[in-house]
Amino acid sequence: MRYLPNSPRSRAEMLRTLGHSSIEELFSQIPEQIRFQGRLDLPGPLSEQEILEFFRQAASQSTSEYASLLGAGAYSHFRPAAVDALLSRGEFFTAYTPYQAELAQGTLQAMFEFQTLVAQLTGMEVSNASLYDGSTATTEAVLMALRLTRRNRVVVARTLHPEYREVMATYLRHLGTEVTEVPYSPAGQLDIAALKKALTAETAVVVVQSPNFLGVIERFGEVAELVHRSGALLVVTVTEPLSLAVVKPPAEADIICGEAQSFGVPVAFGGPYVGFLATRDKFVRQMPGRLVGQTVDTQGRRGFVLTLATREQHIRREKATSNICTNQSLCALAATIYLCLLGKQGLKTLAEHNLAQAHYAASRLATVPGACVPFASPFFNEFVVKAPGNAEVLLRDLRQEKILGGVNLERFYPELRDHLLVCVTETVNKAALDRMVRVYKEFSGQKQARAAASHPVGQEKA
Amino acid sequence: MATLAESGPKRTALYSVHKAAGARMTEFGGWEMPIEYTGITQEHLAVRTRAGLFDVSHMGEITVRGPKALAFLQSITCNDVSRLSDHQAQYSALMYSEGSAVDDCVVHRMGENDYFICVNAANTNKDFAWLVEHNSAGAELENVSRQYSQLALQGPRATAILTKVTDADLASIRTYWFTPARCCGVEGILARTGYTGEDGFEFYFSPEHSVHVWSTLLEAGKDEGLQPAGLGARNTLRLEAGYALYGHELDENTTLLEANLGWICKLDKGEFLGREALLQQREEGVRKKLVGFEMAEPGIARDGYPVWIGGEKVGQVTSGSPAPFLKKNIGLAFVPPEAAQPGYEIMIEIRQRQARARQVILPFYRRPK
Amino acid sequence: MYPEEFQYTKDHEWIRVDGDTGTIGITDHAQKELGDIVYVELPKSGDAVTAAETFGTVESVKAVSEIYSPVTGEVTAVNNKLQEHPELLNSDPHAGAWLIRVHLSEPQEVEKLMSSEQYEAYIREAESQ
Repeated sequence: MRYLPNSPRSRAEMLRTLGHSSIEELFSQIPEQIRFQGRLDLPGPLSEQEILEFFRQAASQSTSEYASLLGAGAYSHFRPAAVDALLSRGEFFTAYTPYQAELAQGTLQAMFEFQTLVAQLTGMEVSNASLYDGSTATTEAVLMALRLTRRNRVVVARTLHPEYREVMATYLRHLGTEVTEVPYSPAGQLDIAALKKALTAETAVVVVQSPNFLGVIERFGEVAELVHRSGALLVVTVTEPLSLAVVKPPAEADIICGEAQSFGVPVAFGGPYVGFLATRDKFVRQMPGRLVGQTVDTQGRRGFVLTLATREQHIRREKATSNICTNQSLCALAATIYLCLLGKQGLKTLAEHNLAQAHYAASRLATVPGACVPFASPFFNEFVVKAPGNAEVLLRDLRQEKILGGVNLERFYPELRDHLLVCVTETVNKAALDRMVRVYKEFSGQKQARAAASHPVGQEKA
Repeated sequence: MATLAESGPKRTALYSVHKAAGARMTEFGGWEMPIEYTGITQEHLAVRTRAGLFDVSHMGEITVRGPKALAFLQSITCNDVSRLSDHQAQYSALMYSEGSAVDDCVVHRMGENDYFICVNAANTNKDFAWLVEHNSAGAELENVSRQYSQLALQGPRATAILTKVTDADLASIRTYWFTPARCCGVEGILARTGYTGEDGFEFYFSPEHSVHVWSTLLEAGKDEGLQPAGLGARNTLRLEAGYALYGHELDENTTLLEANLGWICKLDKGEFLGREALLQQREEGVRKKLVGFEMAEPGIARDGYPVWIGGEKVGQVTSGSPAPFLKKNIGLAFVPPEAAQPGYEIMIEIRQRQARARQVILPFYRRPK
Repeated sequence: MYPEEFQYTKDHEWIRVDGDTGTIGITDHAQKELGDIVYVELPKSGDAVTAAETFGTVESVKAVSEIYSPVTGEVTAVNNKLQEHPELLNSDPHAGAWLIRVHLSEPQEVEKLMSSEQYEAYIREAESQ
């Protein structure tokens, strides 16, 4: 349904129908003492030219000169021009919410396709029409598990994205729910022994991210068995769903959720993004978010509607499956267009390219004296590197070479001092990677030279 | 040279000398050999900093002679024997058709139609039988192991010590070359070869002179700090140098490419047993890769300990021990080829726990120029 | 040679008992057999030990040896010097290189162990074979 603003004439007509002569009369029921007085402290209106100039200035502070190796939950991927071209069609760009099915078939079908793609990628039986982002999707999955099991303890991997854990803590703070964190093993995967200790008869759900925040791909056989044996549900979060094109999603998971920003949605300073959540048919009634279903109309033609609405806010209020009653339609549409453009084979080729590039970078960095790639586990397009010295200084040296070298992990994991999380997608070319290796080598060489200078007799051990 | 102790393991001619010196003995490849005299660490460091003397008489020697010798050796070993000049030697391997080794060895060319191979003690009989079985070319083969004692003098001071007891011009013998020579007054073959990663020589001679040569060398090296060294130090030295030990890094289920010995496989020298398999593997890729590692946290990796990556058991340690000179705990292991990368970590299962290890570039130790 | 106030096991551990505390180590004979000791793995304070069961390992260049507890009880102290200086076990096995201290839960177990005289006879016999 296209968005068309009201004209002064239609506004006047509506007021007349209501029996009011002005907008103020419509709001007369709002008590005087709580009404805002005066003017809002905002700058005045600008002309079109002034506005364009304003944004041009702001945009000039950004630059695309840098090669970015930043990941950590937001992934730089190439967005084909067709995505924006289709997204900006008026029918999509300003579409209203699809509660009137007869006016929203286009939107509903697009969301149905999105659900289908998510189900195919995750190997799950049903998916919703998207949620806000990966962090809320993960939290919603936890809330869903709490409802399904009627238990109130949550076990989370420490390698679940730190900010996802913060969002989850905010949600759970007033529910009286206990959250236990399970550390990672020396190989960077979930510590199975610690998981065993953390599971109790009151555990509702265990949340594990894969590839996890350290880039490591988790193994789920033993984990799933332990979780299910204790009567809890297994939630697997995927922040880089491109990985699903080459890494088999765990069939043992009860809910697979995460962030679909990698598919056609720009990194855009942190949002808007698009979360996804998929699960088994038997859990669908506890699944939050909008759900589009396929049906036939009175004339037997295929149609789409929002379905199982009794889960939702507008029907059930506080008994709803979530306070969220919307989806990220436009971003989900971007993801759908992107995935359809690439197709199954294209997505796989892209994923293999990411895998190859990241492994090329990692293998070259690993041989720099003083650097290493810790965590003896497979990874997709993100990995941890131990810097050959102070990570902040190294990042500064890399910035001077127009490279954003990665995330300094110390702020999230104090035990990983001087460790960088490095993400290599198709947007970084080989020349930039080789340049990065050169900076690492120079940095390492300088450190060795400084050390040798201060110990003239001794020898620096690499 | 072998004497039999009733029935049981063979002994070299120096057995009683080792016992008298207080050596702790052990059984190795059917021989009773000295593991250590004063201590493995001490002996190891002596070789790295001064010199050590090893009784390696248990090693096997096989002669290959006659007009068919070269052709035969070319067909049964992987390295290019035709490149050898007189008095030159090469590291090589006797081959199976699968591209794996019957044994690793050193092939020496005495002259045209006259070669001898030094093979591992544990495999001497197996090697000889294999050569005989495949000798359709008609070379003259003889297992002459009993006719030789072999001593190895290894270390930075080895040349200085040896020069006192031989007239041979040691400076003119390059690495992996040899010469007939008199040493300690005894005729023999003096080769600049070794298994420790240091400069040094190996002397092959008739066993009745064993005690004399041994004690003469020790006397000549006294001022230089020469000391006897046993098999314990021999193993830690070769491990630091990244050398393979048959039965560990090499066996019938490991191709030479997998063991990082592609460099001794001269695939364009002509047909040889195993060439097809190696060519195919070069195309298709190896099934496993030998990597060197050092422990990244306290713990010692030992032979046979499992290797884990990503929560899966993927291989095992072929040789592992403390490295007395490098003061680290090191090892060699087979891992899946895609996981083989210096700087990447692997997990070693040490009894009940998994300990972090880091892959490193081989060799662990290279002697200073 | 072997302190009289210690008691000994057939696996070459010694224990010195003071009231209901035992200090445990390996004997000089053991360190000689092992050669240069390069690594020791010991339990933590609070861990339980059981008589005749292993509580740690001692490693030389060539070999790993398990250490068996002479008694049952709870570990109250661990000799931390041995992490950095495992070679102490070769130079001072009967004093500076004690391994752990244990609170004995079954003090009567000590009666089954050998005296220094019996231990010396035991190793003399073993060596002559």
